[in-house]
Parts: sequence; structure tokens; C-alpha cells
Amino acid sequence: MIFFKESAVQQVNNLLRLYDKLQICTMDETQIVLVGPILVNRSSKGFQVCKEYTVKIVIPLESEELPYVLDTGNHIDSNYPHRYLSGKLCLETDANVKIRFIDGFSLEAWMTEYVEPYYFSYEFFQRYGEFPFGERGHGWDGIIQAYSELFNEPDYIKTIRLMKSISIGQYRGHALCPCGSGQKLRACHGPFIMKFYADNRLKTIVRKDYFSLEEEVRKYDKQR
Amino acid sequence: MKNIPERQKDILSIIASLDISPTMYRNAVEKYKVITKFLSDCGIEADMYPQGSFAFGTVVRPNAKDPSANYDLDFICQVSGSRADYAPSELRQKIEDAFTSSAIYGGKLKVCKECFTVEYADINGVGFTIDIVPAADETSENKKRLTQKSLAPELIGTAIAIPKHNGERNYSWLTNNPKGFRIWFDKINEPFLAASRETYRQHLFEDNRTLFSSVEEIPHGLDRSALQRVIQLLKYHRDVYYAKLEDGDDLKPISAIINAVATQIASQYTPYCSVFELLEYVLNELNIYAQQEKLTFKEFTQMYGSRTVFSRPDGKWYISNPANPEDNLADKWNQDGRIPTYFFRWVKAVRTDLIESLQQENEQQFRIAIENGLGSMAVSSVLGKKYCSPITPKPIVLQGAAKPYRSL
Repeated sequence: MIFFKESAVQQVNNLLRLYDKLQICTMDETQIVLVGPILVNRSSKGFQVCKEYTVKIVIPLESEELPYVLDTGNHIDSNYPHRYLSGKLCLETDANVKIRFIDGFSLEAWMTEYVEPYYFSYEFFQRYGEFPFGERGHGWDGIIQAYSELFNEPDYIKTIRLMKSISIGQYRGHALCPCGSGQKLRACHGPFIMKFYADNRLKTIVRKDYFSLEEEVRKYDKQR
Repeated sequence: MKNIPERQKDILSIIASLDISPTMYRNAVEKYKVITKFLSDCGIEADMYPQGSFAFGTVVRPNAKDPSANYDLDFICQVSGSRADYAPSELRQKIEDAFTSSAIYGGKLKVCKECFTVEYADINGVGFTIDIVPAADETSENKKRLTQKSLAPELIGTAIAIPKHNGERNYSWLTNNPKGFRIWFDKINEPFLAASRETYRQHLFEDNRTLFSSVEEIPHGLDRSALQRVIQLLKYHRDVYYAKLEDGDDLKPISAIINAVATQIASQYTPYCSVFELLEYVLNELNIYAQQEKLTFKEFTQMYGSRTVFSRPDGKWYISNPANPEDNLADKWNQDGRIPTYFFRWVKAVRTDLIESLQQENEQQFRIAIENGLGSMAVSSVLGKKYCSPITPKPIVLQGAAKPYRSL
């Protein structure tokens, strides 16, 4: 669960102070919807964007679903690879964002660390043909890449081994690291992945992705 | 209220601040003459003459990333006799021996593969280097062949051969014609210079009264026409823009392309124009040429028959060097297909930053555009806080910044 109504309302009020043209469109037991323009005034790599974007922000309440943004102002070119047909923006992988919310992320931080940089990346890409901070691969590529960064393991196969161990195993520092290095876990990936074993909420996120991946592989094998 | 003439003036002040100063100009001319005399004292009869930006009057401060970088001024050192009198490595060695044996130059000389670089001390924090490329006259047979192929045969007489490095100590001759290029450029630039010369020189004189006692004393090498300013703006914008790209150094268009295409396009325009009118015209034309990325050569010729600055017969890009019919300035474009795509995308960014920005209702948006285009350092050093927003943008830290994703 990402938001209880009470804390969401409080955070939404903070957002409305920060983005003073944003308004509450609907608020019920299941979601809060905000609409209006947001000002993105950000800089990086010697490039600055200061522009308003009209958006619709949906914050699901008491649900596992993440908040999301719709490009209602149609600012994003339809050829841009990180926008769904529905107008929903592909900010980052779900796992990446969910983990941040578990770490105590606020809606305000979500706006400044995901939503605003998304628009910045878009403007940078339109101008330079390159992504200022890189981009995730589509589908499973992007998901595994995100875990590979979280686990500090560049090899994707080893990353999947670590995901498997977190999903079905337990943390044993003295046991061999599941990556296959032959080292003890505590001397190998332990420091990066321990919290995924220990915190059930984090474990659930990895497990969900790992089992879907396994299912995907099973289907693929069957087809062959 | 937007004040377009004032904004234009501000952009021009920025580009003027990136130009070579009258003091450095005077100093550089003096130094290269001393080098010519030195070589003559060593028994090498040579004609030293500027090539590239110093010859065209389109120098801009180099390296957008490093504010203390030196200005690079390029020179040809053409020895007497023709290439038939030397082996390429022999000519190179001869010049190298003269420099390295000297007490004056030995210490400040950098020997590169195809040139020699002499570094001069800073004046007010900015220094310059003189790059010297050895050369000899082309042979008459080669000139005859070039003349037959050339659309401007009158330019071929000055063709030279320079020792080109092919690895290890292996050198071969490469034909070049910087003097011819300059004659071609000067001819097109002259009416642009004439159109603004008096006012321009008067302004320069007023800004440099301590250096010159009269307008007449200002060397003509410091005159700047609308065409020269356009080339300077394009070159500096290019440096700032490509510095942000991963492979910027490999992808950025060489200065010779900017010189050749801007000049060729300008030759179709009225010389009685402002810098910004000419810049807009050049950018519009480049935008038309961008269509060659998608259209076939036949389709493009049918639609825009008279436009030949860039052409793509048989799919290969071709940009002519007006002084050397055997040189294709777009050679690299045919080896790396990203180069033309980035080039025409860059052209759009120049338009946004230097033309469309003038029309922005909001002053802060104008400031953001010129900083995006010319770099915040160059802009701030001339304009201070003018047009700045009271709210500074929040920086995005590269480490860990969100990467956009998409599920399947």
C-alpha cells in the first residue's frame, strides 16, 4: 500500500502550495485527481528548461498502484518512446519508484525527482537526440537494468540470480553469494541486497517481478 | 515589452566578447612575422600566411568547456619550390629541425603529427597558439588537372601540398588550397563588409581609443561583416551544443563546412542586411537542405533545383570545397550517418536560441535561450544578471537521476 487517504491529503496540500496552478479535480475513497499546469524549472548539463506543462495527476488511495501522470496538454510528441498511447508518462520502472516510496518518499519528492526530470529529459532529447541521464530498455530489459543498478551488479544473468535468491531464499551472510562468484554473500553483494531480504515490502516487489519473469520464460519455452 | 533591437545588440556584444581582441590580433600578426624572419635566418625561404578563422576574420574563443583555453590561430608555412622538390617527410623534418634548434622556439614548441604549435604567453589571462602547417606549391600537372575539374579555375593557382601523416613516420602529400578558399571567401564577403564598414570601424575605434589614434589605423583584419558575425555565432553555438553530446567531438561539423555553406548561401542574399536577417536566411536555407535526409536526390532537385550547397547524388553527401574540386568537405558524413542527422538537428537549436528567442514575450525565456545556446559563462560575463529570472532553476543531479522507461 502506497498511500492512506489521510497522509495523501496532507501531501497533496503540500503539492498544491508548490504548484500553485494545480487544482483538485476529484477526491474520493479510491483516488485523488489533480489537474492543471505545473512549472518545470530545472537545469542539468548546462541546459535549462523553464516551461509549464498541463497535466492530470492520479493518486490511487489504499492501493498497490503507483501515482501516475497523464500528458493532458499533449506536450509530448507522439513519436517519443516513453509515453503510452493513453497519454500516461513512463517515468521509471515501477519497482524503482515503489522502493523509493517505501524509503519514505513524498509526493513532492516524486514530482521533483521523477515527474520534472521526465519533462527535462524529454526537452533535452528533442533538442540533442540523446537522453541526458540515459533511458531504460523497454519491457524486461529495463526492469532487469533497474535491479542491476540497485544490486550494483552489471551482469544481467547474475542480477536475475540475485532476484531469485531474494524471492525464495533467506539472507545468510556466511553462505555463498547467489551470483556465483564463490565468495561469501556478506563479502560480495550482501551490502547491496540485504535490505531486500529483510524488509518484506521490498521483498514483495522483487518477488512480483521475479515470478512474472519466470512465468514469461515458461511461456516462451512452451511456445518453442 | 520585448525590445528586439536591444536583444540583438546584446547577442552581438556576446559574440564580440568571444572574438580575438585588437591587442591579441596585433600581437599575433607581429609574432608570425617574427617566425617568418626566423625561418629566413635559418635559410628557409617561406611565405607564412594565415588560414582558417584567422584568415577569414571569424575567430571565436575555443573550447566552451574551458574558459581559460587558448585561441588557436592557424598558419601555412609555404616554402619556396614545389612538392616535386621534396619528399613530404623531408619537408616536415626541415621545418622541425629549424624550430627545435632554436633557443627562442625550442622551449615553447609542441611537435604534432601534421603541424608545429608555438604557444604564447597570456595577455589578461588569455593566450594564443600559432599552429604552423608546412607546405609546398602543388605541381603544375596537378594544378592543370584541378583546373580542368574546377568550377572556379581562377582559384587553383594557389593550390599547395602538405605532408599528411599516415602512421609511424610515413607521410604522403595532401592537396589543399587555403589561399584560394580565402580569395573566394573575401570576394563574397566584400560587399557585406562594404555595407557596414564605416559604422563598424567607428564603433571599434570608440571602444579602443587607447590602442588606435585614428579610425584609419585599425587593421582591416579586424573588420567584421554580417557574414563574419553569422559564421562566428554558428561556430560558437556549435561548440557549446556539441560539448553536451556523448560523442560530440566526433559528430560536430568542421569549421570549414560552416564557412563554406554559410558563405555560399550568403552569396544569394543582399549584403545590405543585419546579422540576424542573414542568420535567419542561412538557417532557413539549411532547413530546406535538411529535407535531403528524407527525399531522394531526384525529388529534392525537382523541388529545389537551384540549391546545390549540399547534394546527395548516389546517396552520398557532398559539400564542395570551392578552391579544391577533389575535396569533399562532407567526407566524414558518409562514414558516420549520425553526423548529418545531428547537424540538421543542431541547426534547429540555433534557430530556437538565436532567432525565435528574440520574439519571446518573456525576458527570462530570452535569457534561458541564449544561455542554452551560447553557454551561461559567455552570457553572464557580458550581460551580468540582465533578463535573469529571480527564481533560479533547480539542478538535477546526474548520479541516480530518473531514466524514462516503458513496459511492453
